[in-house]
Amino acid sequence: MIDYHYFLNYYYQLPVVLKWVWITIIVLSIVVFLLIVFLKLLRLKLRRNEKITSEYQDKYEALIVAYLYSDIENEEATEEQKSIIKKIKSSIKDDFKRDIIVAILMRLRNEISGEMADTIQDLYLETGLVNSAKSKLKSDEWYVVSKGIRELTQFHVKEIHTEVEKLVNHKNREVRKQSQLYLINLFGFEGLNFLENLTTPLSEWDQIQLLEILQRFSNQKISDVTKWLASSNDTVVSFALKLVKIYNLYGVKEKLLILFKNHPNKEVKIETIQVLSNLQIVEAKEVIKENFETLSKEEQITFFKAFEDLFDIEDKDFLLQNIQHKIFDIKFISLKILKRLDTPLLLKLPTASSDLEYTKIVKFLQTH
Amino acid sequence: MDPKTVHTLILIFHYLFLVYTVAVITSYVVLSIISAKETVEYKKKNSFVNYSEILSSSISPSISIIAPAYNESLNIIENVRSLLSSHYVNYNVIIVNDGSTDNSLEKLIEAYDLVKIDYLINEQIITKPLREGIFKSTNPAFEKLIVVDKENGGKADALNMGLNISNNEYVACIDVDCLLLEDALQKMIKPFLEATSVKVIATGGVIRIANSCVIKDGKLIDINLPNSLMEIAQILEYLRSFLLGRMAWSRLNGLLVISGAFGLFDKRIAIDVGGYDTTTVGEDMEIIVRMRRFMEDKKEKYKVAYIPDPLCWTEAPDNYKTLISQRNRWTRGTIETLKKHRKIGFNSKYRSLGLLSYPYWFFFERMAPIVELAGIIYFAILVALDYVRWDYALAFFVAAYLFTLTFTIVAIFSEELTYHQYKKKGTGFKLLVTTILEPFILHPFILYAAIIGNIDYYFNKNKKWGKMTRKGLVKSKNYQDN
Amino acid sequence: MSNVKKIVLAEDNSTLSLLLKFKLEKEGYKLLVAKDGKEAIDIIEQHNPELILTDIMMPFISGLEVISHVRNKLELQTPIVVFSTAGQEEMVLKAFNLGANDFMGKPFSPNELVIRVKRLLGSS
Repeated sequence: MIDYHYFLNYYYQLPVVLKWVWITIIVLSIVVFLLIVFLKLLRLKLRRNEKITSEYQDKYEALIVAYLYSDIENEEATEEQKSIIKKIKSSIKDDFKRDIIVAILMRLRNEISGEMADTIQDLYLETGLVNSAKSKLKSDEWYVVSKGIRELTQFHVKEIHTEVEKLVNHKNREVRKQSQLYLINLFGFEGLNFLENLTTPLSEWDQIQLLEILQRFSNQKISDVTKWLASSNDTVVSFALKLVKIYNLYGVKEKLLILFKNHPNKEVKIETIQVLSNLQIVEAKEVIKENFETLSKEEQITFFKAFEDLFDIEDKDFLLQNIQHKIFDIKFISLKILKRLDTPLLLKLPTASSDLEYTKIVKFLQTH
Repeated sequence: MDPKTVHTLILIFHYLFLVYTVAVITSYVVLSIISAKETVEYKKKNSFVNYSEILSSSISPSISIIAPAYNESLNIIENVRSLLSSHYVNYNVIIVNDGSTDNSLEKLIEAYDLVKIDYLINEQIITKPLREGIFKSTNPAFEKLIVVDKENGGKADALNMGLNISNNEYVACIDVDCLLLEDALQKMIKPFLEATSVKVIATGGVIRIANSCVIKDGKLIDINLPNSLMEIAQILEYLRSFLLGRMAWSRLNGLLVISGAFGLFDKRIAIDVGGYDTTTVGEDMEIIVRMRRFMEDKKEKYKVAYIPDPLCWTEAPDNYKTLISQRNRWTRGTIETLKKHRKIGFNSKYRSLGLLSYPYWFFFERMAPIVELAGIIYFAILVALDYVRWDYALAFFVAAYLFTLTFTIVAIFSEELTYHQYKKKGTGFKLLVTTILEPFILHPFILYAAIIGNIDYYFNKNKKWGKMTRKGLVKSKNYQDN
Repeated sequence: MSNVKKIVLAEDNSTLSLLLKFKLEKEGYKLLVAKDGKEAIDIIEQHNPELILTDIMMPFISGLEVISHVRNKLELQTPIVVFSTAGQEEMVLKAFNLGANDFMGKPFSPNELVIRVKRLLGSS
């Protein structure tokens, strides 16, 4: 008691700042103590979770494999199967267990085809997992909605099509992306129709993903891309250009030339130039040459790089005009093309010039 | 001066100290909170990412890994092998042998069947000239490899050579002895491809300490905690810096530094700003500041992104001598960069870069050791004059110590909740013990290194960064920077 | 017991491993399951199997390295079937160059795998 009073008296006589320091010390000591306890608990929990997860994993894996396996033997659902479904049904009430079960099914679903894949599908529907996934779509949390869509995508649940379609312009980017992936994964090229109503941007990353999924479809019948090329959403135009390039859609040639001439976005223009060269549209070369001086630096470089192999002897004058262009790449490429088209001419080119880069390139090309 | 003025001055001095301390602590608290939010968000978002598609796609953008090497012959073969084993499809590896005086080049030529090729360099950034030239492999298995042999010009000069040579859209500048995980490139490229309304100019990665980890054939097999306290203390320091500090700054889009050991850049912009500065020892920080300034001047919306995943593992100094010389260099790098870009500081034209990031770095990174030293000297004078109220002093020390503990433990927490890399039993205890000891076993040396760095900067300008020594896999890092 | 043919299965998806193990053991083979390339190499060295089934992408040591180890270090001609996912065409080519005998693209049907295994091992 005396000690206690002694400390209190000591505290009361301290200046204000020191009083605060002591309060801080007491608070922080408690915080540090609690943090250490929590840290210990957290590490224990993590380790335990890892153990439990692997235990559950083994348990449900065995159940699921038993289910799939017994199916091969019999046409009708066996007693064993019914009991497995019952067990799983009761387990999925627990979110932790549900996640594990779904993860097992998902991984299997991705790697297996044929009748066994159908059986996995049946199991997913039968156990009611599908219903809880659907109910996730109504959540207010973007995280939950995205998770729900992703799961339904993986299990090819087509009937929520209309609901998902409404989400392609959702304010959260992940929800948008998952719903777009849903449409493409399940409906292939037909799913692309969402592009018409897309007002939100489609990032390069999203585009690459969608294109990769499309390539998995054996039916490569692509719908009309013209309306997407004319979209007011630049990222949709960019995506449509990639489709043109990958699926060699020569039919839209005129549209591409219009894009090149009129589109205000530099990135789109650059992509258009690349696509024109990919499709080997030679008349585009003439059009671009005519407008060459009005192009931006990046567009000019892109043109030279993309059309490098499409230049022929007719273009000699144009190339000669550009051998002292201020951009290194353009000089180098024009001289390289000239060497390919007319080596004697290149060898005759003067090496002396006030443009040192030019001199360096010509000397290099003449000797190598 | 009359005693009254002296007294007033001392009082002002005291209050300045107090204000500084409170500001530092507040900034840490704020940054911790922001980083916690950002971390949760990142983890949630990342749980949806499927990296396999970008990996195989033929339209994924091209990346060059640029790795300067100086007298690395001991491990160069394995290091290159590790760099070549990335799972990304569209990339190449440019090893720039920066005038090594050992047999690095011969070893590379032999191991990878290299032959000299004709290559015209577009010298967009002026560098030291080539020495032996440029080499490629005749073996198709190593088609991604380019080796450049040039005259010695330092790390920045070597990186610039790599920038000149690369034909790809993005460049990953890394230390040759860094162990990159196989999925590092696709994770780092993601921010560039995801951005739609801003231009991402660079992405920074996390550096993790590989001391005592098991590495085989360029792959990380097992993660261990080192035995020496000084090495564990550095792990804690890195966790604090990467998981709390940088995570928060990336949320504020205020990152001023990307670790020189691993960063991915938009090559066009890196070249447009003139590449790395060869006159500073802090070229990794300097280029980011310059790229930011460039974008601000152009009034374009931009971002420096950050990926907190443990993707790059490297050896940290295992003895105080190397540690001190490393930190000495970091200090000088910071001073040089801030000085060179003084125009940005407190300049509202540069918005948050000038009003937030720069001042933070100036006051809390650059000035911190000086303020601390001033405090120590002042305290020593008071002791000498017997003016110290020991009970007051003790209270302040204990409070400061507890703050340090709190932040470190929060950083460990953050690590456990996110990546949980140190899983083994007993490591939690080791981390805690080191947390308690760190202020005594690591901090004094870092303070010392920073002070020496300041002295070297102002009074010893010609100081060259010493030649490096290394022993087997455990290396002292003089040439490479973190 | 000597006529039971041994198959090593290296696959990091444990459920798939379990499923295939069931299926192939039903056909009368002995299955040795590895969850990564490192384990696979150990098991192969120990048991000298008649057939190796391996995924291409696995942690630590990839399927490609397993093939290269079997063909170049152990100098075995054991038939090898690789599993690949869409988009790994380049890796499949490498696998064939290293000496793989067959490949199956995921997703695949377990029944088809059984048919291929039987064909490679010769139905006795």
